[in-house]
Amino acid sequence: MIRLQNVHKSYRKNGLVTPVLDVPELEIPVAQRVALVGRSGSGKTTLLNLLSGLVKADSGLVQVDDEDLTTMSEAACDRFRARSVGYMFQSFHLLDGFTAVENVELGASFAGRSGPRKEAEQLLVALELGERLHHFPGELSIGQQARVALARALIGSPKLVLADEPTGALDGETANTILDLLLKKSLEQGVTLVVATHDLEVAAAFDRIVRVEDLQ
Amino acid sequence: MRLPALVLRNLKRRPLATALTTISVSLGVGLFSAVGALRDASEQAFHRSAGVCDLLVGAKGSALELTLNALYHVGASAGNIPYPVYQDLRQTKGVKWSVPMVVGDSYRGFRVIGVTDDLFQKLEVPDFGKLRFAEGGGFSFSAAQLDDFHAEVVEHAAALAEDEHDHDHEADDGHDHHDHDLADLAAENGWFVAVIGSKVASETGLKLNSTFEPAHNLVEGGGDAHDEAESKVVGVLESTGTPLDRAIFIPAAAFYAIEGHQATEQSSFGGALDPHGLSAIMVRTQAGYYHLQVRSKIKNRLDAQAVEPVQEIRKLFQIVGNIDGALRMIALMVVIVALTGVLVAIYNTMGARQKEFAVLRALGAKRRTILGLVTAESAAISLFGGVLGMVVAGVGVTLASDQIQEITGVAISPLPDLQDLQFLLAITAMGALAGLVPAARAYRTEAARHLSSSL
Repeated sequence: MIRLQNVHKSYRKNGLVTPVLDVPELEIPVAQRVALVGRSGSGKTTLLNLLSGLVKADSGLVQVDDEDLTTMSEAACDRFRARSVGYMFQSFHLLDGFTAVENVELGASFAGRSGPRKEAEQLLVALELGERLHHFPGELSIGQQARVALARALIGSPKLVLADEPTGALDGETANTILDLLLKKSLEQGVTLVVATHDLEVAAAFDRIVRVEDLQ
Repeated sequence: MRLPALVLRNLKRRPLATALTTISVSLGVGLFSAVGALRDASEQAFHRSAGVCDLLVGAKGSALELTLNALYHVGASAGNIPYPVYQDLRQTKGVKWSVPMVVGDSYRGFRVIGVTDDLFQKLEVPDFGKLRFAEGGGFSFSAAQLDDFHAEVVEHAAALAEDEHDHDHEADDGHDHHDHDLADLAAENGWFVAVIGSKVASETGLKLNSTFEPAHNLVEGGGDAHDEAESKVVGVLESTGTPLDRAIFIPAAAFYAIEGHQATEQSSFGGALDPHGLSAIMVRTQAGYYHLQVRSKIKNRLDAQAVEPVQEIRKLFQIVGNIDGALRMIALMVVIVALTGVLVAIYNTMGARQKEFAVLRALGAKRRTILGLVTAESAAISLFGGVLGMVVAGVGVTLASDQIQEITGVAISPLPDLQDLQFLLAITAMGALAGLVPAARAYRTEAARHLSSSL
């Protein structure tokens, strides 16, 4: 269960304080697949970062499975992210010098578990990339890169998968394939899925749509 | 994927920068290590060679020159000491043994040294022991036999002087006549034999039962061969790693019997040009008081001096040490410049790697993991550079050791020692320290900012 209460976040730059997000109340049950929609700058990415513990709220409560991220130390947040969160970025951010399987393996490297290589291979095989395990990102199509990024987010069976515009860089057909895979795999693994998107058609495929502007 | 794998993969991603910075570190480390290794190994090896005797008795003059000439075969002999010095020494209380040496001939650049068989029976090389034979054995020629033969030499010289007087300075005929008498005597006694050092054997091809003709002079190809003194190799010494490996030992009688080694009317008996004298004497004394007493006794003579080879070599290395220190300072500066290069090279990649660090942070990497990653990359370059430098130094020392052995006979090991390993650790630590600068920048990476900037 994800619970946010009276969360406020603003950024400071050159002494100027810019409020970016206010969430009086938001609850997401376990295994629910949620689409966060809203215009650019509405705070979708900030909300994802708050849920991953990458940034801290100025005030309020951010709770994931009874763990209060607002009171956690940075190191504890890192540990939480390594063990409990999978992250998929818009442009995937695969690391150039690492093969597909190594990129996926990286997703579980900081959780302190052994044997992520085998799981990484299994995930990629399940995503029909068995032939591309040892290919570098530059040798993969954009759709294949998206699958690798998806596998990296799913490795280690995280409780929560966050994705920021996962289909934003893809053409229609590939976007649909990736979206289907994302929804299917999260359902199979029973993870809570929170995806930020500006595309209402994409959002329509989720269990629930949350309009960020409406939260405030 | 563990941190070491991440570090190696990141280094592989930038092959040119990694190779160049590694090479720059290796040059500095190699220079530093080679200078140190050469100094330490040569000092150790020189001390070992100097330790074959406690005292070296030779002509008055430079003590270092005497040591280098007598023990390392460097330079020309400073002159001779009268033969009775050797006889007196053997009677002196506190002298355990003494080995006389007469030099002046060579074979293909290797010094031919006239000695007694005490060399094979009594001399001990530190960390090696008594001389051992790879093939054959030593020749038999005792101090008493040398005394007898020397008496013959002196007698022949007296006869020569008489001949000179009788034949109104028709020296040449008389000279040859007496030389051949001695040569015949040496031949009759079977003294035209030789024991050769291991390096002589390997470089000249001489082996057991080979024969050779010593040539006058100490430089390669510098003199006429003595065909009347054709000598047979009866023994090949095992390698000792000292100048003994580069020497050819013959009975001192054979040396005196060789044509041109006897007195002429120009000879100055009893002085430094005495043809019946000795080039030097290696002496082993009893420890403590007796050593000082023997030394003092020689010191009081006007025609000879006694030097302590180990002390002379120590002094030599004190002088060399200043140059060595300066060289090591230069090498250290090169290492520091190279490590600064590593720092700059890694720092310059930081801007482009912010996203990479942000991704790693988003995947759960702690800030200190990022700090460790960058620091370890710098340390790894330093370690690789250090290892490469040690290899380069090893090759350099091997090449230089051939040259040093060529000149002095001292064999130097190119293998790294504990000090080298400590230096390698220090270089790696310095590399890690240099890496802290870019690592600090990586540490401060705000993941959320760098991830969202692309969204």
